[in-house]
Amino acid sequence: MRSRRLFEAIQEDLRALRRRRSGGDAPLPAEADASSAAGTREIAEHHSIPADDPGSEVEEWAALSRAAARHRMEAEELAAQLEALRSSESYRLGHAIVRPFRKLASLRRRPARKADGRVRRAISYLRRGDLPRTQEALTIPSGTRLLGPLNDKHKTAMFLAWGLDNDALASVVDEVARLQLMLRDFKPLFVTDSDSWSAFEHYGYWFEYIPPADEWTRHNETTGWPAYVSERIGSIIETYKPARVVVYEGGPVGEALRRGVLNSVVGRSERPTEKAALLPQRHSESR
Amino acid sequence: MPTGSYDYDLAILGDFRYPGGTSVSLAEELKAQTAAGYTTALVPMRTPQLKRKRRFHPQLISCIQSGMGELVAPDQAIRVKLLVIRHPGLLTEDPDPRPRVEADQVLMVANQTPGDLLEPDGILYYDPARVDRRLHELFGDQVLWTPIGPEVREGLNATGAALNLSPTDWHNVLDPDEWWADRSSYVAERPVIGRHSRPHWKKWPASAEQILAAYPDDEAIQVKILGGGEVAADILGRVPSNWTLYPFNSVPPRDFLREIDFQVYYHHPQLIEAFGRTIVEALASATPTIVSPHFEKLFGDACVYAEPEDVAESVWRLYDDPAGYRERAEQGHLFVRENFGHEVHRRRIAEFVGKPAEGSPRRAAIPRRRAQDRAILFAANGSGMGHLTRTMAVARRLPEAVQPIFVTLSSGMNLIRDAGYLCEYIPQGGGERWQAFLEQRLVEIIASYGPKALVFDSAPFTGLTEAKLTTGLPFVWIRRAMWQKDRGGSNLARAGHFDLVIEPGEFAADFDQGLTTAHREGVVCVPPILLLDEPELIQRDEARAELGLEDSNLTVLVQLGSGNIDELAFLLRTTVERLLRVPNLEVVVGDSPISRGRVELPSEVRRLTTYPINRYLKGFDFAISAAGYNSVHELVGFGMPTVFIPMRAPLDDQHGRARYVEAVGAGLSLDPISEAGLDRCLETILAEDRRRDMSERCQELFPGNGAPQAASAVADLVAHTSRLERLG
Repeated sequence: MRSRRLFEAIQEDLRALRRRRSGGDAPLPAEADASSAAGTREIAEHHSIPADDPGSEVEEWAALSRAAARHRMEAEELAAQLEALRSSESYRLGHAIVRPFRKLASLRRRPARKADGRVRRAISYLRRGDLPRTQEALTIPSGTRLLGPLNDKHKTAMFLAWGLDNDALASVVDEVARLQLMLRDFKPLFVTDSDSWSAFEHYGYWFEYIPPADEWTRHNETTGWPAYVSERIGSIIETYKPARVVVYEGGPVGEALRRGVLNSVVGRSERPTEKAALLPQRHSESR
Repeated sequence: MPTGSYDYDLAILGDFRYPGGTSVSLAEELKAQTAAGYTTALVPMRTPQLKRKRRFHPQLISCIQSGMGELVAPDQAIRVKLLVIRHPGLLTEDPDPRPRVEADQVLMVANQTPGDLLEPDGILYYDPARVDRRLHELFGDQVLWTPIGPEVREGLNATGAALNLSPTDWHNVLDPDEWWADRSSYVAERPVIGRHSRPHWKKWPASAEQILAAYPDDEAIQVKILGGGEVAADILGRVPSNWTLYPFNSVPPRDFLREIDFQVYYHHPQLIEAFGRTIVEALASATPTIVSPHFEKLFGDACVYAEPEDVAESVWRLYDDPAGYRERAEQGHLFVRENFGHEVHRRRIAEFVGKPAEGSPRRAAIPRRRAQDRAILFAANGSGMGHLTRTMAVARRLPEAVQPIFVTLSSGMNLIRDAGYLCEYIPQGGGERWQAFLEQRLVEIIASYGPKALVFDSAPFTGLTEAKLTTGLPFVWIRRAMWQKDRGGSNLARAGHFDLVIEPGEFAADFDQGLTTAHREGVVCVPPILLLDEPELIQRDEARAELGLEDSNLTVLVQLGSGNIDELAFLLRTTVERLLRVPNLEVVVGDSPISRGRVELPSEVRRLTTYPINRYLKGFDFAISAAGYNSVHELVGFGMPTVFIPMRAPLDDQHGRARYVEAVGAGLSLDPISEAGLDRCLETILAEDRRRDMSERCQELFPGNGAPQAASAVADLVAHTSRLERLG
């Protein structure tokens, strides 16, 4: 309950500051609003500090008030999560344990947080063991035209529909729907570089979109797309954990292999650290 | 892909697993020659020097998979004009399998000295004479050796081998435009010196005294080291307090160099540095570079040459002379452009190969705007297009220095693409697991694009705020006002997660009873945000001609949004059927581009699915519209007499907004919806003088477009973040 202690400490700071300002022990407003503005105004009025005073006193109060409100929200959220953990089913234990610890970890990190460390954190986050990606697969809808539920123990099948024109894509989706209606053993997840999504929407199928090479390259470095697409596909596989991957290609045969789209399907997903655009971990303390 | 009697213009024989400069230089050459239109075969070979199991270098994988060279089988028979062999170490043993490349000219690029003084006596990396014999045996007599710099040339000469040595060096190249950095100001209030290299003891001076002379333990100077800092720390037994160490490869050198004022590079006195790519990269990024005098042979007057003990003095001399500093920075960059740029490589390839074959695929290098910071614009879904439209309104007004990258949950993503922006799509779901997924995707996107801020428009999700906590990236909330009374408290409570809240102006602000009205402290309030400015609207005659509208008729635009299809269908049919009974009235229905179903309407109704539809607004006489934020502000903003119909929305107070518009005479409100009410509204709006009055009231009351101010606030935050990062 580190965050609760932190919040209590901030409250104590507020009380001390208030005592210094007013020379008394007047209580804080009973229900300080979670938002900074209202909280500030109430506190300011209570202590006869003009609300429009541009001086440092109001700013100081505002900063403390904002911090207090934020920590209170987080502490309450944490408490609720822990409560949920206590009452959860055993099969949820693993997952539920992870989140409060993640929250605590993030709270611990916060005082040292600087803008220039964010991608370091993002990358270390992506590499840590307590990621959402290591949790259970993201549940996706079965589709809306199934005439009843799917069979028990159905799996997710990933259909990589790459380089297809709109008609070809629609035909593939139609055929997948037909097959699903008959076999009833799988949920399709579509991954496509097409922005024509009406067929997915028609059947209520879940899909992921990846910008095609020419479009991505227009906005990025010339040779970065294979690494990008490989990483995206790797992330999708980790998120949905499909039991099977089926590839439909338009254009030249082997294009998805040739251009790196299948790197993460056939090989290990790799995250090149050189993609970090911001600064990494620093070690400036003396040894 | 034969070109004449050749299979390719040139072939490159190499071990593409080399982890460092060899592969990076090769990738650069591939980019340059592909952009010039040359076709290249990459012939893989396995060097005995690389013991570790590893993949091809990622940059080479990317080049190959981007179509910059064709990877052929190691023993594939091919005919080329020029065969370039990278690294003599490849041929220290007989290759297995034997490469079968027939070439008019063979070039052995020696990118390493045969040995260096740090190796035990008598042991060389390769024996030039033996390699040369093998070359002749494999590829014939047209073999030319080209060292990558004077140090390697001297090394080759020193062995006494009888080589056919090129009179010029085969310098490594890079694209100076990719590296260039603005040096109009210093990084910080004290000089920041830095270096980047792979972590090897050979890359550092031998003694603690020399290290501290070159990289002073002095608080007046900041030292940043990318790669190999631990080597120096081991020698020193500590890390000086003014040093900041970054692990090797943890940040691109290009970005690292933007965070230092001077590159200071000294290596072990007995290492023979073959080329010094690190120096070329620093010069390319206009970083004044201080190195040992022995580099002068290669870099001429592009660097500052000093012994380690003179580094501090050299730094301060330039730092105290900003004009001289800038001049030195530009001089280094120009030197690289002239001597190590892609053009240099294209010229030398042309010397051997001639012009590229006609009709060979030419991949022009795609210019990217220099030194752009990025901002992620996250347009979440809604029942309509409001979030997407507002973020696009801001994006198109961002300055050139900020590149917008979109993220959306909306099926209207293709509209963003059509507007020329790169867009990532995140499928929308619900529940805790989806929120974790959203967080993960946002973190991935932030790591991938390295933005300086994220701009969000909608009600904040848990996954969004978690991503904020995880990354610490500055977040901006474009928080539309006019919430329904007492609703949205949980949204408001998340305001603390945002570094900046921008509130787009609300025309009906006087009727706003929502929670945001009491929470505007610290909020940047701007006039209403509109996608278009008035001059962007198509003039009446042109619009009517494009839409095929009869000149003599009155024309009404009906746009009721993209809400629940069943509710919408009933309302739309009722409205349209009533309108069709009005003589000489042409009815045009604007279908939402993200609508999941199309309401069947009588055939006389003209349908229009275009975005943004309001470009055609001047072609219409009046409108019947939903009372969402964007619709109301665009229609009122452009003086269009309109009957507003409030639709059901989770938070937006459309009823209040429509009531206000009617109360101030700027339009009409059909609330509650009824046929009698519609009759009343039509009776009013069909009168020309009433339409004119409404239009005048709109123009009188509307405060103008606030999108430029919103974009400016975002750009300021981006610039501020960027500056903070540079200051470290």
